[in-house]
Amino acid sequence: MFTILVVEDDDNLRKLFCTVLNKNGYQTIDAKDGYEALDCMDKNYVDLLISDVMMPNMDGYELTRELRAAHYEIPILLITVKESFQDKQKGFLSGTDDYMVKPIDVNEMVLRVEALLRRAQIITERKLTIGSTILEYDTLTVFQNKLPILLPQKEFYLLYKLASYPNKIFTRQSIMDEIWGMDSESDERTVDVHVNRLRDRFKENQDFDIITVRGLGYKVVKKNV
Amino acid sequence: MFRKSNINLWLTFVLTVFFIMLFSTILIGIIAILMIHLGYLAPTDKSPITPMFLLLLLSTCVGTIFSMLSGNVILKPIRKFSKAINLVAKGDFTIQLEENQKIHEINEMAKNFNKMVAELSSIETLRNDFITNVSHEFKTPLSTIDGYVTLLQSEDLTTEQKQSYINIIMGSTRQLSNLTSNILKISKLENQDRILIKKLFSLDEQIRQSLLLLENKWNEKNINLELELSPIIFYGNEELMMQVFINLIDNAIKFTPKNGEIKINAYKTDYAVSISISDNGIGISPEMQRHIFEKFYQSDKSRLSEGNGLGLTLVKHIVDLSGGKIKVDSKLTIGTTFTITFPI
Ligand SMILES: Nc1ncnc2c1ncn2[C@@H]1O[C@H](COP(=O)(O)OP(=O)(O)OP(=O)(O)O)[C@@H](O)[C@H]1O
Ligand SMILES: [Mg+2]
Repeated sequence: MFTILVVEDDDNLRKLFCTVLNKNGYQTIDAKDGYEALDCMDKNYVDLLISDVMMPNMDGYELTRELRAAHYEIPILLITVKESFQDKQKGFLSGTDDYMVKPIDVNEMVLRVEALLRRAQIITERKLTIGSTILEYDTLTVFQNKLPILLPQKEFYLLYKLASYPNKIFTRQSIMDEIWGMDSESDERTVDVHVNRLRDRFKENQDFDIITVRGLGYKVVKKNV
Repeated sequence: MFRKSNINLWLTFVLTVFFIMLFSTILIGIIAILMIHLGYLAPTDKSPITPMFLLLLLSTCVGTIFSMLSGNVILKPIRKFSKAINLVAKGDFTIQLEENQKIHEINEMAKNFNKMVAELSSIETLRNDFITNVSHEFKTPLSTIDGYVTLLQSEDLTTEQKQSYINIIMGSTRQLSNLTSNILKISKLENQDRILIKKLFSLDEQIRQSLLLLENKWNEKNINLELELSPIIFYGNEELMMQVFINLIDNAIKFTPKNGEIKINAYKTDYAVSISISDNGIGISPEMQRHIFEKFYQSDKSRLSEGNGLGLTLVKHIVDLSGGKIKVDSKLTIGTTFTITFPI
């Protein structure tokens, strides 16, 4: 069972977040501000942190910075009333993994928590499983029913990125930026070429498909689940 | 223009003084002659000081009385003006000055004053309208929430009923939060006269990203997207432009029936960047097209609960501040196209 630390100075909201998370099968610890949170982190094992930004004593940004400075790598989800771009940027610069704007939809919060935990797991295990297909990051190898296929680096990263977020559409531009680098010379058609090669290799795969969303980009969908 | 009765203020002044002097002189002359006739003043008197002194005193008195009488005529409108200003200061915007004054400058002043008061009173009604609108927009979802929460308290509810009440409550809270954040954004934009933070970014990619953010909505309605986005590097405020696209696309989805189609074109010429967003939805009548950019305006009364009528106001503010133009082409039941262009 995952343990989530909820840091929020408003009593009603803190109770709400904890109740919702408990209902969805997470264990929760709560804290009223940054100092209390740091204290909890010392005493308990925590898998994920949800924190309000505006709190007395120590705010969410500062808490995030402190934790990152102390080499805590757990996923952090900041919740705030501010929604300007600069605030988001400040959040990400301080080291948060995700950001939600109040008033938040608690169902969405649960979805984000799931995604963050799954990603953290993917990152720590460096391994991704879709049905009977396994992607092993360090060896650039895909196992289909235990049969290993070694992929060229870019192809592997591309598949790994898409498969980390099933059903999420990625634009060619965002794929280019992450896998080929912001200032790469290659153009977006390179992405198409790589996707086609991947499709060719995994024609027979029973677990996933790479789908083209016309005009927008690509996504991986899980088959028959 | 018919301005026979309009005389210049300077001329009036000169003429008044001239006539006062003329009348005083004539009057003094008559008095002097009378006095000589009656023998109070003999022309052969030894000392001329006493009669001269007497005449001087008399002429001063007469001149002053004439000035008092005629001054009243010139000064009356100014006194009225001062009174009127006092009333405006107290918040009475109904006061009007007479505009058929004889003296040109005074007439101008009266006209300008009336213009000013009209302007002030329109600002006042705008402000009142704004407050009425805002409080109305707040009260509607609040009373909805209040009502359905009360309903939820009764015990004999089926699960479906409960769920549907809860959905309504959630919709209303979302509407409220949208309302507050849009009011905030608009008032922020209204207080700035240019866009401060600008940088280069890819506009076509931004349009794709806004579509991704709204994926749930167009997916749910099974809307077909036709995108023709040529690569455009744009210099502007990324966050504000994102709001432009999100609002326009959100409207296109909202006012288009299931299985509809939305087309987005973006291209660049030597002089301008142009983006058009078309849908084949319900359309907007010409009469309503004139109002859609106004705060709180919603033409489709059946969808009032799905928004606050602030989206397009925000879009227009941003496009104006960025030096661009926005145009709407629409036919009822056929569809709507919003086109924005930015000169480069
Ligand atoms: N694409 C469109 N098709 C038909 N009508 C439209 C379209 N876009 C806007 N309108 C009309 O213009 C009105 C004003 O639009 P606006 O975006 O300002 O408000 P809204 O969408 O109703 O609410 P909000 O954007 O605040 O959630 C809408 O209520 C609708 O009647
Ligand atoms: Mg709108």
